[in-house]
Amino acid sequence: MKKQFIINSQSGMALVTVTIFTFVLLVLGTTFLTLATSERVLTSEEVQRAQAFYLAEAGIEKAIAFMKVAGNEYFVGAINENFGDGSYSVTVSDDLLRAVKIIASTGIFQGEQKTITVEVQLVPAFFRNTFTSPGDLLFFGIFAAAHAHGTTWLSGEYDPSGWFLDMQFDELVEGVDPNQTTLRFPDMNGNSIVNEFSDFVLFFQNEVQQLDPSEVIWIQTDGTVDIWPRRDYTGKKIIFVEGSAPGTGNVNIWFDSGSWWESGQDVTVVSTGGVTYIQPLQNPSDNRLSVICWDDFIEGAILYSAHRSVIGTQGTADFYYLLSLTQVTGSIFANEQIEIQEAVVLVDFYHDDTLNHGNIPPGLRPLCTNNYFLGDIVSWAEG
Amino acid sequence: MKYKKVYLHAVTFFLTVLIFVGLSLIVYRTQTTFKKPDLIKKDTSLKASVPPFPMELDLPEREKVKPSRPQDLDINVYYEDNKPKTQEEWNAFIFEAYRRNREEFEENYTGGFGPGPYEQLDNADLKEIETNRSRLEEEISECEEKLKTYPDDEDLQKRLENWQKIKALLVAVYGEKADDEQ
Repeated sequence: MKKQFIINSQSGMALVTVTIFTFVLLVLGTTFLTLATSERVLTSEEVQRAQAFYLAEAGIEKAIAFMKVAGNEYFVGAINENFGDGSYSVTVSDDLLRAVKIIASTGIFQGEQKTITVEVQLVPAFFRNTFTSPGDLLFFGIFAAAHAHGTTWLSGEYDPSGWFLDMQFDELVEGVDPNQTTLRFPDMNGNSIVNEFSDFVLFFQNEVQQLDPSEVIWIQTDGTVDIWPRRDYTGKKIIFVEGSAPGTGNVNIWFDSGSWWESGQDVTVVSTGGVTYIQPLQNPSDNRLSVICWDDFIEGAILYSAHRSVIGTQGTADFYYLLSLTQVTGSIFANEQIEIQEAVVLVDFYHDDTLNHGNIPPGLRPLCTNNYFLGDIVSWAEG
Repeated sequence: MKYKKVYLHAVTFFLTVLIFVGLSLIVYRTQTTFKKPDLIKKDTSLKASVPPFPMELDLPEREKVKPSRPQDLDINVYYEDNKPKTQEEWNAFIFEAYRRNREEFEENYTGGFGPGPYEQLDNADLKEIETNRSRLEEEISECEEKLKTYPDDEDLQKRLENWQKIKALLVAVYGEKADDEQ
């Protein structure tokens, strides 16, 4: 009778049920509480990481802004600053062979750290100008007009002579420090002297090795090479005529090289001698033929002439025009002087603004040495 | 009695479901919470148009660029000893180079970018060319005269050579003025 009572009795069932229910609720409650707490901690860490990231970014912007101030371009070192409740630590270094400034910034916020590394293109300083020379700019002529758009930087002065001349400048700056107007090739042979002929040769020997063989024509000769518009030159980046001594390995360029078959052609003609560019005619207009020579550069036209070029010489850059309309777009720098000789001519020299954004002609990227400005950011990495 | 048993089973079932759902929720939340959330700003003004660092790839060594011989590339080279000196020599030299290169250009050029340089020269105003030619001749005579006084002036020599080349180009394209008159 008693046994039956135990089996069939329902009393205490509610207590068991309530106990189990309460236990489950307790487990669930504790779990949710733990989750909520850990979520809060994680969110707080994420916020700290995000803050650290923005601090790192602020460090990058601070370093770039600092180096864009004239005189600070060449800064290499560290910047450590507190910012809000955190801080950033920035290191700046140069890679002149790749023509980039490397900026690594670490943001620190309440124990969290984030690092951002960017590379900023270095652009040779004179690429900012239409004309640059440590010497004078001489303008001779009769019934001649010229307009130098953009900036002209001279360590010497503008010196016109002739009859019925008119040369306009958007911005002419005379008496500039020669360090800012002189094209110098880096010390490639390691003898601690920059801008020697052997530095020039080694510089371009090194540059051609950066390219695919199909993009280069490299001729070693002491003679004078004639370049006419040819399909074979399409896709070339550098045509390097290397003589054995300064003034040898001259080049004559007739009209253009190989830009008539394709658009977007960009070739640099390099000569250890002088280059004569005769009746320049480039087509289409987005092509570019640049010239870098050790000896003088001479350009001559007697008919309509238009071209886009960066022109650099250790000697004089001479422009001879007769009875023609001429448009030159680019940047011209000559270590001796610039001469423009005209008769019944209207010539416009425009600055190629794409140079400011790092659109540097092939082979000229590492031409910064200690004379450059900051271009655009070319790479960005978070780590 | 029966009713209470059913009630007990229902409560047990309910609790089992609750525990299962609860545990699933815990497991699910735990997994998603510990995944690294992507809160970091992806698009900043600094990196807007900037590609990431290139990956380091195990590329084969690049073929070394070597100098070429001009004759292998069919490029004309002249030297100091066979360099044209007089206007007549320049005329002959440029005429030959002009003819050969024009022929090659016209064989290849499809006219995709408008009239080629040779065609542009052909289409020039002949009257204007004659004016240019006489002005050019004045420049050449002026240089020659000055060189008589200063024979070693390299700048003058270069200028003369430049004008001679341009005149030779004019002669190659339009012929000698004297020939035209004949």
